[in-house]
Amino acid sequence: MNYKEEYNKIESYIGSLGFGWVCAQVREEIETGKLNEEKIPTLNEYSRSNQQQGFFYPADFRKGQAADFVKRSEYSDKQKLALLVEAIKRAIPELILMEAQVAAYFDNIEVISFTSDKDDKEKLEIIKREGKAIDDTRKAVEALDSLINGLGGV
Amino acid sequence: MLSAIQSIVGPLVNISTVSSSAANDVFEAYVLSLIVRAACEEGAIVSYVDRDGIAATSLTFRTSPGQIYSTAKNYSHVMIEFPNLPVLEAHIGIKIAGKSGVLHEADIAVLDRAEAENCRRNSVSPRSSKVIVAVECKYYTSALQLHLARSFIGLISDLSSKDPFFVTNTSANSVEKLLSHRVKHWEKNITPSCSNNEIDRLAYSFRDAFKNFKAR
Repeated sequence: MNYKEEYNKIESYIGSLGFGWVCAQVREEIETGKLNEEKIPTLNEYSRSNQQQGFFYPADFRKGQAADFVKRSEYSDKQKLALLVEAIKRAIPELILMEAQVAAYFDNIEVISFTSDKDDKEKLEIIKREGKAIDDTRKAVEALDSLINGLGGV
Repeated sequence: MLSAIQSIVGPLVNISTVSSSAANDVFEAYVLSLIVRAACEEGAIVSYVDRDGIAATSLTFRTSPGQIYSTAKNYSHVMIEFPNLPVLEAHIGIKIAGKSGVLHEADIAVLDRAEAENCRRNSVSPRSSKVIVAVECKYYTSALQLHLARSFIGLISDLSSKDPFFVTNTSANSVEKLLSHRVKHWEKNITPSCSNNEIDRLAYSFRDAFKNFKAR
């Protein structure tokens, strides 16, 4: 599989559905890169005599105690694809399940809505879901998890 | 892979929340439900009230942080009553005043009702010393970026609130390291499909905050 090509296709599909913000968050993580700690020896610089100072006399470094350093590495194309699929899982089915749990918890409440002082244009309403829709969403989470595992996980 | 994604996600798109801000709203409501659950498990009676003081049958929350005294909309809050103790209110998205006098945004704040009422009557912001629980909620689809945790650490240095929480649906090693050194209450992977009892752990932390409030 050409992971880079698949990534681009899925990114444009998700973007076309209005989830451009999801792709942006994944790109942010890819730019950050993988950060791991690595134990390596530190360097100590030894002082030189007055006669040895200046450009022509190289610095005298000697290895010191080992310490933890943060090392950044790039995600592989396969890992980038896994990150994108994971993000899709969080943005779509996991959010639907979260909405369903909120609606179920406040079950004596008719409507839960979000609005701002300024206008109602971006008003969001949390809607109660039927059991079948929840089951289908859970299956979607499992299916996406299986794709992520197939890519070696995130 | 594309066709697999299309067949899994396609049927869900019509029922899903699309925007990033809406995702954060849902997450805040979800965390609020965990706080309410924790309060009930500690013996509280909860009810839902609108800005006008009337019992709410529908809940209207803020999508972006605003003033507790705002009359622009009839926003709702949760009233939490423990026997023989001052009543508490839980709000989504209100501004609270830090030690420096600067206003900060609390995604969720649980505070004394007397403080909340005084602020509504006088159009002032609640003092962070009267906030029992303040929660910063971060809904992210990929690894959490470090600057978000750094901002929270800066925020809590100016808050007198006893129990500030940082709660996210995701995780990141670097963020976890920073939070574990600098923040008392934080929780990751808070989603309905989490696999490691994170939700129970968070609910117990909220219960602890209420336990301490009851012991005052």
